[in-house]
Amino acid sequence: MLSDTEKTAIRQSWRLVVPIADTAADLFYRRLFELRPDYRELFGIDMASQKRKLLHMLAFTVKSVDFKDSDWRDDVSPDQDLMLVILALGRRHSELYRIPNESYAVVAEALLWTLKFGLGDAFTPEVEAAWTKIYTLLSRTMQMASATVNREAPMPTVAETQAVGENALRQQKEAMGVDEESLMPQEHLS
Amino acid sequence: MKVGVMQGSLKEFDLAEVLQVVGIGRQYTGIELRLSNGVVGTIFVKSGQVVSATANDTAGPNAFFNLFQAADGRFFVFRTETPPDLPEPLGPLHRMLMEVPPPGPRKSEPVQPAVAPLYAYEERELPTQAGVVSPPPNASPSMHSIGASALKAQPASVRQPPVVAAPPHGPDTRIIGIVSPKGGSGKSTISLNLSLSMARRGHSVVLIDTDVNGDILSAINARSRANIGSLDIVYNDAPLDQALLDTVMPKFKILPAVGSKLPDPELMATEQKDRWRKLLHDVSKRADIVLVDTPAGMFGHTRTVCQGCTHVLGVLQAEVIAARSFARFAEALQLLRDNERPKVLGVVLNMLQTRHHASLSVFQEAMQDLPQEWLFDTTIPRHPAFLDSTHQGLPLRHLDDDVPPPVAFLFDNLAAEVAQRLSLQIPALRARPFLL
Repeated sequence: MLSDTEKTAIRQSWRLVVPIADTAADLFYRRLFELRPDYRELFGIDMASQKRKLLHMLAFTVKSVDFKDSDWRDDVSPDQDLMLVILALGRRHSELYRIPNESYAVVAEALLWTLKFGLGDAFTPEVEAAWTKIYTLLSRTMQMASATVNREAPMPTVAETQAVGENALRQQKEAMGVDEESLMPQEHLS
Repeated sequence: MKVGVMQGSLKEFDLAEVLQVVGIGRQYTGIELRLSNGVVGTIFVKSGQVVSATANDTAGPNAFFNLFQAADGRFFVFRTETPPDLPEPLGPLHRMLMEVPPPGPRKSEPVQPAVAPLYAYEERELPTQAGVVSPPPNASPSMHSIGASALKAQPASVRQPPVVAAPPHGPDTRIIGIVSPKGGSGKSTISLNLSLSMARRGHSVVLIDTDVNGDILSAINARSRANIGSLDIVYNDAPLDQALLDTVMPKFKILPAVGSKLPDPELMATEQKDRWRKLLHDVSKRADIVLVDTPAGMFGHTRTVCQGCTHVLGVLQAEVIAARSFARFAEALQLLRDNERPKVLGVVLNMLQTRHHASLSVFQEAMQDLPQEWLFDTTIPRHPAFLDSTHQGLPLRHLDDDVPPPVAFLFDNLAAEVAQRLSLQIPALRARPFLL
């Protein structure tokens, strides 16, 4: 559903986020809890795990949308299909974690703020528009899931989603030669 | 085997939303629809491409659009095995959604197959013009079927003007569509000033406006002068003679887009390819050259108009987003049937800002990436005179009769290039001595 231009904007801007991924995750949750302190209780104690999940999901999303229109015939397995993964995620968010629908707008604000902070001048209007569009699509998919998903249908599990996301982020780091040890200190952007 | 993914009511999530969600998936996914107006259909989507669509007895793009005619109904999304012989897609989902006509009144009767007969076009051999390059290689047969299926299914629920036979264009017909994939790239400005310069060269010119939104008469601050427009002729059978507006240039007339009020929006949403073609043909009998200002984008209304043109002139704004979207120019032409595809007269770079690297880079990339013969030597800069021109409601050349802004002369250069590419004969020059 994204144009090639939007895919390029997301891919190129994400390349700038990957080296500071952990810092970006810190910034995101810091901003989210600034906006809505009451959301802190929606998350468990293990925020490190939560941050990894966020990064894995973003990495998986970027990887999933990054294909050429001409490659549309290529197949992917159900556990790597963005629609099915996001529908499953949306269902878990509503039924398991009891995440309120109004939180999607707050998360959007925190995410765009984080990208703007982290990318600086590279956060152009085109990049902002592309990320806004993909986030809107994903959040709408998650909201649709809670209302419409076929509960009998096989959906990607948490473990499967974690695995493909983790794999996506690792591949992206390797492709860019990002060494875990050489990541910028988190104080860099604080 | 069908695996149900989700189902629900279109009252809760409309069809566009459902399709957008399905569009982010890579699997072969179907959306079965049972609409309140009795229409039953299925849309198959894969990787953001609309693979196929059926609505009752119709299939293809119009079936896709017909499924948007009711706001109520049920949807069922399922995934299934990808067929081994996937057809060429109808088009990218995001683009087809942009072309969905606004919903009309809810109908209780099912949509019927088209009643309009196809007009059998004669293969026309366009004259060979110096410097004119054919568009990209011939479209594949499956691409042809897109155009054919689009014709077959017209929503019968929409009141149709009578079908007219569109005659083939003759070898001397010059109907030039001014097109651009992106809005705001200066099509109307180019159309108006180029028409004027062509008329100044001695050719009779009619400028047809087909853009309801950014219309030419608004640019020259003469909206109140229009009684009948091109859309009134196409959709309401209004007389052409009463629609043409004279200008101070004896050989330059303007056919506005609309008159004092808009035609029925429901009618405007219908494709009237043959009627557009007939209008363009009729006008071409009254002028050496017809220029057609089209709406932004290469699909929808612009596509219909282009099918009646003999040539297209692309306007490439020297700006990054415009450059990125300009690939649609060639792609859209490629999707037309061979005998309905206008020739590429050329591409003019507009709003060039030589002091800005990003703008210059568009120029450099155009030089590098576009077929060599497409780009005109004349480029049009971004210049304050254009603002003055719009403010005064005059073409550039008429801003100051004694001392027109220098940028106005660029359109004379462009007109000369156009004339050369069209192999237009130079009107007879008056013999006159130089020395007194």
